[in-house]
Amino acid sequence: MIKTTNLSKVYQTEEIETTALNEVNIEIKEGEFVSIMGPSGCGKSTLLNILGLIDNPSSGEYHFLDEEVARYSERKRSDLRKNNIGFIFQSFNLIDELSVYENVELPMLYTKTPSAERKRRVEEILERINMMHRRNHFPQQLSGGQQQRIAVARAIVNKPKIILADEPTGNLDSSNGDDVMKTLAELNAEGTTIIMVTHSPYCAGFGNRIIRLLDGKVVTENIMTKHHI
Amino acid sequence: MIRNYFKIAFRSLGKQKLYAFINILGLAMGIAICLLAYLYLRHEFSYDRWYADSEEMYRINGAFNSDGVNDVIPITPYPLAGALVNEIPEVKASVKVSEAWKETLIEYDGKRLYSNKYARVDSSFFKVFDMPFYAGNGKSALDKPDQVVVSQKFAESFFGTAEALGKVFKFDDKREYIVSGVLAPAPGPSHFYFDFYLPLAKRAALNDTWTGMFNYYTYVKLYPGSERVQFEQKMDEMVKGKMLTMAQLDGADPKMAEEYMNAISMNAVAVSSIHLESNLEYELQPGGDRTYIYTFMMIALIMLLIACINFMNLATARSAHRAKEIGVRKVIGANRWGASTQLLIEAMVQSFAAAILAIILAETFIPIFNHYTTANIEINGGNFWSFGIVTLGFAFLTSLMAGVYPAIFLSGFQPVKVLKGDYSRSGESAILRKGLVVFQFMVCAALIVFLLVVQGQIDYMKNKELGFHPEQVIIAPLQTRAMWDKPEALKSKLLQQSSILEVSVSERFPGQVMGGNYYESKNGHSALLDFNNVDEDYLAVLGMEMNAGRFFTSADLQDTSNQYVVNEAFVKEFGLGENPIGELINRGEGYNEGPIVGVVKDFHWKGFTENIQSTVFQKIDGDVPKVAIKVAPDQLQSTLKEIQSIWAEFEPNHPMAYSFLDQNFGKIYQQYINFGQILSYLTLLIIFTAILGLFGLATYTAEQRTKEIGIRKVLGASITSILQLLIYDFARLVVIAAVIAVPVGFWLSRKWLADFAYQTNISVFPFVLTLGFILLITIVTVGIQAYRVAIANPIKALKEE
Repeated sequence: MIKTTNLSKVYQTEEIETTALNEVNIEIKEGEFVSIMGPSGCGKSTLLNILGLIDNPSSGEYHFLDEEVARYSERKRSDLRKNNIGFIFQSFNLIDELSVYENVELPMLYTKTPSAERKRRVEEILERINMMHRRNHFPQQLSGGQQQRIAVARAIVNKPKIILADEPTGNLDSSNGDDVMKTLAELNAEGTTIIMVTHSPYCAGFGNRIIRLLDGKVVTENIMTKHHI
Repeated sequence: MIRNYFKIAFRSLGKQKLYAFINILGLAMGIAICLLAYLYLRHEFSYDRWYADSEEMYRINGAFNSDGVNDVIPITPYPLAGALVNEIPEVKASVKVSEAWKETLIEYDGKRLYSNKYARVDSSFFKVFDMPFYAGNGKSALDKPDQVVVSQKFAESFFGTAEALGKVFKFDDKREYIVSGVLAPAPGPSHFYFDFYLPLAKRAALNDTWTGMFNYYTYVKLYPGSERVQFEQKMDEMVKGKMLTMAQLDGADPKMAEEYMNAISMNAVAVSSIHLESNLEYELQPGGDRTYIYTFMMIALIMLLIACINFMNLATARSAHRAKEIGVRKVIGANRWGASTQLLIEAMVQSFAAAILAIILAETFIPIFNHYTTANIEINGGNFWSFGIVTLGFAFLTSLMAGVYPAIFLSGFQPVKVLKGDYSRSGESAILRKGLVVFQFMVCAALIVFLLVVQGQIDYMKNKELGFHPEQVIIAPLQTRAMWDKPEALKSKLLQQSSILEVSVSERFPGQVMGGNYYESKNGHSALLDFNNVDEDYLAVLGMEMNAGRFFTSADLQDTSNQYVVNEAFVKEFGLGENPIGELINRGEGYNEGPIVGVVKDFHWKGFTENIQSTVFQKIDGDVPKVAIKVAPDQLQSTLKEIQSIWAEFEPNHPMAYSFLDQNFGKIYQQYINFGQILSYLTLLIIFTAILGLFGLATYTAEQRTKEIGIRKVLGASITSILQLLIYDFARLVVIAAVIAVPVGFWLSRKWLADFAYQTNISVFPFVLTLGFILLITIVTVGIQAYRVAIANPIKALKEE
């Protein structure tokens, strides 16, 4: 599903050159739940952004769904992204001007889903995460845990093949964090591929593989043998 | 999707009320002024275009070519109209119009008033000019000599009703006219400004007067498909033939007659182009001015641009607010095009809200605008749809002008950066923003300089020595033939009053158009010149001075021989040298020879727009005069009553219609005063809009720098030093703007002043005043916001981060 070959990302300023990713080779198969771990500045988020087609690598190859996408234009990446990838952020990144309902509906507007279908799916998902009663609220009126549940709903409403989560529990207390992780595990169990950046070994434990980065390089890959659920 | 865009647009406006207010109010004022400019342009270009065959309608101009100078006048000899329709196959119809030549008393049911807003026209007038009739029939309305066609507006004010058909009014204390038609309001403006139309009497005696009596406006309607040039050629040939025949019959010197004939030519000007393209002496109405229309349109668009700049600047200055949302949308699947569309829709929402407000503003501004221009613009049934479409057009234009740059800029944010909280691109727009602020204030400063120069020129014209003294002079036209012929008794009775200093009975006074006549001197010089018929007291009543010789005396007035008094400009133009007294000159075609008896010092009859023209004074003789009464200072009002009672003894049937000479003359400057007024309103609006933008920008800057200011205060900065810090950034831009404005304002002022033969000097004063003024408003505007931030508790500011 995902395969990188010698993937590198170099940031250049006038005086210094920073290598964020250094010849990263990873492969992720459909249905996996992979956690990316490592200290701050090791390149986790950079890797996630490239895997999520938000950013381009400086060199190397990136095969996404059997397509070589490393040199794709923003327009092509955007097309692939909206049809295949869902994102979950540490800081939720809901749109303040849109209600709960509208935030969840938004990705389907970009994929031109018919209106009746949109309504059905938004309601179904809000029911599932138990947020139907908050459908007309705005993000600022919700707690952090509720906001992240909406963000998860938004990420999965288009039924993406892959979900990319960047520290999804970083801004949450442990109980709300647990809820989010359980939801991700459920989605994985239903077949969705999940790639998650996290600092927390506990959260990483929900996945079936851990990729550890240090200074832009993959140092170890652990296969998890034991599941938390 | 589009619905989602609109939702976001309305909600983000609701959240940012100050921002929405500044944008919408500024854009609304810009669009409102553009709408006014459009209505004005449409009005000026619709003059006389609404007649059914307006494309085939022409007015005939006469041109006199002498010594290489081509004098064109819009008036022609009496028989021209009749000959054109009879002898030239292209002409379908023709008509003569004769303008009122004096204020005439009209009476109805005890109501008496003087009017000169009427014309005498051939009975076929309304067949050629198909003006809509409210009552009566245009085809036959002037068939009888005692019929009159009145405008609906006049009927309502004079008869008290539009149902005026059959009503009879008394004209000039003699004749009675019966209303045979009432004109409905015309569908568009016209150069005919008349309240009523009387039938022009047929004057058989004038049928052969081809070489004089240039008193009639002649209009023709050609057959469709006729070529104007061919018509003109035929007309020119015909007129020359007639003139030659007449001269031969009169026994004139054939060589001279031929010369005269060759000097005259006739041409046709489209009726629809009279208002904007024909600006001749003796036009029925002063024409419009394209330069003025385009200048106004230009200023209106600049005003809109300044409002759009506010929009752009505030949008890019606030980009950090929007960056996250745009970033999220792009991650979820929006491409740059989608994000731009959304931002453009936001600009559109604000532009359309502004357009609605602009219609209200335009309605409010229209009466003020009409007051200061000759135009009479309005939003009515006739232009409702086109006005609506133009309003929509301006709203779209505004959306694009204001929205495209912010849309491109904001949609360019890379999600990978903004999601990390890196909005560093906002710096890229800062330079452009500063440039645009400089442009806005450059425009403001240049307009202020220009306005000050315009006011300076108006003051200059009001205060400069005219060469005569129009103050304390009452002017009243004499009404009856008896008085025209024998005004002496009235004069001496008036002079018995101790408060009356001088009395003159003469034809024309400053503020009026002079007569025109041909003059030639013995040294072979000839020209069409201004002339005036005056009595011996004219010089004294106006306080003019002699340069050489003497003015007319009462003995001269008794004597029927020709004598002339000229001005200094005449002596110079005709090259009469050091001693012009006694030089012989002729009036007309070799007749009326007489000596120059005196030279008056030059005087500014036409104000300061034109150079002083050569002028000839002749002894008044059977012309229609006015009495001018110079009253001692401070006794004007009390003396007026005495004058009126004396008047009643001499003109019992005509109440005295009087005016004050200084006021009449002051009207020469009215158009410039009006221009100054309009300009000052526009400048105020533009400054206000620019200030609005500056205020918005200062607000966001202060917000953005809250943390920096908090740190500075913790480190010991005083409130004054923080104020300086914040104000300096903007003050610097404004000073740069003012410096660039110096040449722009200077150029604009020079260009405008070029219309005046006599100009005020452009001093350094307007420039210094302008700089001081815009610096002051900048400091106040930015200072208010800066002060708010400067006095805030620094701990609060730092905690927020």
